[in-house]
This record gives sequence, C-alpha cells and structure tokens, in this order.
Amino acid sequence: MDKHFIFLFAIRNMTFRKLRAALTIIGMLIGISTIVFLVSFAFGLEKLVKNEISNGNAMQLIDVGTGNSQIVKLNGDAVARIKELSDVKAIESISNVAAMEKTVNKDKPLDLSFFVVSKGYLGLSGYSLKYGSDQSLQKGDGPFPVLINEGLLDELKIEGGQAAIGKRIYLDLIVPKQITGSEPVSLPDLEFEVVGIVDGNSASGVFMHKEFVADIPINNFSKLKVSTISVSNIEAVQKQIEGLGFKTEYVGETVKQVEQVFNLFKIILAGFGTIALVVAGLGMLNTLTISLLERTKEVALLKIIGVKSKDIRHIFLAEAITMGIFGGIIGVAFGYFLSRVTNKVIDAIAVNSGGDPATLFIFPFWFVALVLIFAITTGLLTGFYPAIRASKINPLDVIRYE
Amino acid sequence: MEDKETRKQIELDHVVKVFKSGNTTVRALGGINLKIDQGEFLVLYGPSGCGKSTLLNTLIGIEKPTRGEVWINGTNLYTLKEDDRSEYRASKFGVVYQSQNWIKSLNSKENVALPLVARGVKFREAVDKAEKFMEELKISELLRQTPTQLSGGQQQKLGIARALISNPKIIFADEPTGNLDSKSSNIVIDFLMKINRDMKRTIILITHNPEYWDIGHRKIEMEDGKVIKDVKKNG
Ligand SMILES: Nc1ncnc2c1ncn2[C@@H]1O[C@H](COP(=O)(O)OP(=O)(O)OP(=O)(O)O)[C@@H](O)[C@H]1O
Ligand SMILES: [Mg+2]
Repeated sequence: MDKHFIFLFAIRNMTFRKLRAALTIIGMLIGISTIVFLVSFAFGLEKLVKNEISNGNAMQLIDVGTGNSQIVKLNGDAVARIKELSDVKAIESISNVAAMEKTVNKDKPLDLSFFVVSKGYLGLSGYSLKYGSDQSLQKGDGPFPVLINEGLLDELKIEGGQAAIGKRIYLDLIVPKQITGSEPVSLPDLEFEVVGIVDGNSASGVFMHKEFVADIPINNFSKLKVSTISVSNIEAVQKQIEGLGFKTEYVGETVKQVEQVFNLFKIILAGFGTIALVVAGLGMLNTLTISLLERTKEVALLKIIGVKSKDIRHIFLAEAITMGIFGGIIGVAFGYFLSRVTNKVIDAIAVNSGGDPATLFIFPFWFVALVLIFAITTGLLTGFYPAIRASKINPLDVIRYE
Repeated sequence: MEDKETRKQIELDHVVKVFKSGNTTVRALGGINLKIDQGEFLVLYGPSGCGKSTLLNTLIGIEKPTRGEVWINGTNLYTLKEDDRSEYRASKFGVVYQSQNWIKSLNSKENVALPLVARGVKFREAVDKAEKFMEELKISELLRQTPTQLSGGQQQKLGIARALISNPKIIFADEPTGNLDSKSSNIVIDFLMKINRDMKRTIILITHNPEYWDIGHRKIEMEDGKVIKDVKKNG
C-alpha cells in the first residue's frame, strides 16, 4: 500500500478529530519538554562545574606535590627525574611564599599569597593576562617585576585596568622552610613593580618569575604541573611519577567523578520526565483505543475493500508514530523555549545582583536526537496494541450487526 | 484438481456453513452447488434468514465455509491465506451493501479511490482515476459533498462507483436498494444493469423486491440454506 497514503490518512484522521489529537499531543509535549528542560539543565550545570574545575588545559596536566611527606622534596633534582620519564612534555613549577603588605593600611597589615612561578606556569593553569605584558617581565636594575591577580587590586587600593601597570608595591616576604629547604627566611620591605594583571578565579595573589629570585632563597617547589605528549598516556605518566614517591592529582579524575554524579542526576531527571511521558503514552493509548472503537466500521470496510491486515496495522501505527513525531518535535521546541526563557530570567537576576550571565542549559545534538527517537518509540509502542486489535477485526461482525 | 479451462467463473462445490453459538447450531448453507458464467446477471432472493448474505460472504472470501469449496476463476479461494484473499478481493471483486460505510476523514472521490489504493496504486493517481471514473459514470455531482452528506440513493451510487473503480470482474450487491425509495431504487438497479450490459461485468444481486427478480439473466431462489429454484432466461 502507498506509504504516502498511510501517513496522509494518519494526518487526516488526526485533523478530523482535532481536539482529541491536540490533547494527546499536548500530553506528549508535557512529557518531552519536561525531559528536555530538566536534562539540558543538568548538562548546563555539568559544563559549568567542569569548567570551574578544569580551566585552561587542565585535562592534559598532572599536578605533582609531596603530600605530607617530609622526606621527598620537590626540587630541581625532582624536576630532572620527572623530565626523564617518557612522554613528559613540560614541567612547570610554583612555590608558595607568604607575603605581608604594610603600607596600605598601617594598623592592619594585609596577608597575601606570593607565588614564584616558572615561565609557562600561568599559561598552563589557565590564567590569562588582561593588561600589561609578559614580555616586560625582565629584570632590570629597578624593582622586581610581578603580575598581580585582579582580585588583589581592590585590597591594595590600586585603580584597576591599564592604570595599574607600573604601580609599585612593597611587601615583606617570609619564605617558609619547605621552600628554602632549611630555615625560614624573612625578607622585609622589597619593592615590586606591577607589569601585568591576570584574571583567574583562584585565590588572589602576586606572581613573580623564578628567573628573578636570585636574591630570594627558593630551593623547593610547592607544586609541579606536568604536561604529557598526549592525553592518552597521562595515567601511565601519573603512575610513574607516583612511583618516584610523589603525590599526584589529575583533574581528569575529578572530572570523571563529576561526570558520574551528573550522569546519575541526568538519569533521575530523565526519570521524572519519563514518568510524565508514560502518563502521556497511556493517554495516547486511550485515544487510539477509543478511536479504534469508533472506527471499527471503517476498519471493517477497509478489509472488505481488500486492504491487508498488515496495511491496517500500519495505518494505526502510522497514526501513533505521527502523534509521537508531533509530540516529540513540539515537545523539544517547547522545552527549548522554556529553558531559554528561564535562562534569560536567571541571567537578568544575576546581572542585577552583580553576577555574570551563564549558559545554564545545554542541548547536545545527540540528546535532542535521542529524545525525538524516544518520543517516536513511545508512539510506536502505544500504537502496537490498537494496531493489532484493528488488524484482527472481523468485517463480518460489523456487517452483521448493522 | 480439475482443469482450469473447464471451470466456470464461479463454482461452489457442496458448500456448507454451520454456525455454532452455544448449544444452538444453525445450518445457514446446506450444501450449495452452483456455477456462474462470466457476464451473467444473477438475482438471488428468498425469505429472510435463508442464507443469502452468508452465501455472498462466502463467495467474497470473508466467511470460510464449514465444508465444500469455492472456486473463482480456477482458484480455490479458501486455500489462500487471509491476506492473499484480501488481495484477491481487492483486484477481482466489487461489493455493495444495503447501506454504505465511509471513511469519514476522506472525501467522496478519495473514498471511491480506496479499492485502488488497497491494490497498491499510488494515492494521488487513484484519486485522479476516481474523479475521471465518476465523470464516466455521470455522477460527478456527488464530488461536491462528503459521502455522509449525500442522500441514501446518492450514497448507494457512490458505493457502486467504489465497487467498480478497480475494474472488478464480479460485482456483489447485497440488497443495495434496501434503504431506498422506489425511484432511487430504480436508478441504482438501472445503474447495475447498464454496467452489466456495457462493461460485461458479472453481477450477483440479492434483493427482496420482487420487481427486480426478473431483471437478470438468471434468478435463484433460496430457502433454508438451499437453492430451491434456478431459472435461466433464454436469450
Ligand atoms: N455469525 C453467525 N452466527 C450465528 N448465526 C448466524 C451468523 N450469521 C448468520 N447466521 C444465521 O444464518 C442464517 C442465514 O443468515 P443470512 O444473513 O445469510 O440470511 P439472509 O438470507 O441474508 O437474510 P436477510 O434476508 O434477512 O438478510 C440465519 O438464520 C442467521 O441467523
Ligand atoms: Mg442478508
């Protein structure tokens, strides 16, 4: 039988009983749009959280530390040994030094973090330079050039933006014994020049390049960031580094855990939507069954005319699938619309209260495709029973009881 | 199996149909033997409940006889699978009942086109054909309304058009005038006679109306599931 006819017939029957078809499709729409809305929200949140954890190219990096060990040391020697491992591409280091600012507020000195970093460290960690230049990080005769974190500007009462470049700051440094390798060293009243401003979302601080530390006794690092030649062997490298006695952390692991949590979250949310969809499916089953009862005579007629049972099944299935397709497409569209509106409203509230707008809903293509397939499958499944019943109608029963 | 060539268009061999419902059994057909020629106009009559409709339903392949065989054009009808019988019906038979059933979501010409669609013709093509066919039958005026808006007589005509569209060799009509006044009845009967005359279709007409018993080439009277009179007109 002409497939075109089967679908045209399905649509005719739906438009012939508009209200009923509309109500059925609205049922589907509610189920589908609930799934789309909730799960795309989970996708959005997951992305936000993942971004928060793994900014920059963190997915290719292993963080190396000493843990609580007093014996292993992260020093030049350690760097050399790690560098020898196969697949290691680069190693960047950071050493935490305590600093105190006393000039801004004489009564209440300001504690801040001072980091001595290797050249590529900031880049690897996902910091980016907002003003000033890395290139000007060259030690002249004057003060030490440093980069400072945006968050610190306020506390140091320095005007933000380009105006901050070239400002001088005065700090007392206390280099702890973990970094000096022997006794803590205190270096009062050093002069620094701000040559750049970095953004970045972790703790505010001052960054200075390792090359300039000749005057400061930095012998150990607080942390190393090791990048590998490819992401695929990152876990092997991680094991080897641990074999050397160091503690390692790999964001990928955290990200995996986050993904697991969110996958569960998504399943639960999809579960809610599925319940709605099942209810919609029952509504559709009801519609199709009623419509079958009303059309028993029509089915008998089709049979007497010579339409095969298979085609009669197809006619009813087509109707169910068409409702599934309509419900699916309209449901996805409505879910999308709803989430856009919600996102806009939340953004407006966030901006009003000084926050940033964010993408809270994400619609991966495969997810949308899956939802549509799901909707059509629901249609198909609910269509089976009425379709089979229809194909079993005995035309004689209808003729006889006219 | 007998040779195809020697068989008539329709042959019934000792066809028996027994209905059982609970304790009661009804012998609706009590061993019918019948041969019908191609192009014949056969009128079937008899008291209510004598088995006319049962016979017709057996002939079109929707009522399997308890015993006996139904041969149509050399095919033993009930050796076919149900779907094959449907296909057979779609291509060889046109059926008209006392009142017409319509697909309410389809318009007149689409309804008339249905038997073609059942045979696998593309829907558009079938509808075009239906429109032309209704012009040929001079009933184009019926196109303007949906089938259920038509009068009883008009519906019967449209039903006959539907029965004829797929160019069937045999037309079965079970009291096609049962619901009509005499004027409309005459129009419908004339219509059937014209088709028999001009298109050489075999027609099997069941009717209670004695006025029509003699219009065909042959009349058969039934009683209690048996043929009690079988008269062929000469000429
Ligand atoms: N499905 C069935 N179950 C039981 N009995 C049946 C069934 N179909 C028909 N009968 C019986 O078979 C007999 C013949 O019925 P049939 O419908 O063939 O009569 P008919 O000659 O067409 O009558 P009418 O002129 O009233 O249409 C009747 O006694 C009827 O009650
Ligand atoms: Mg009858």
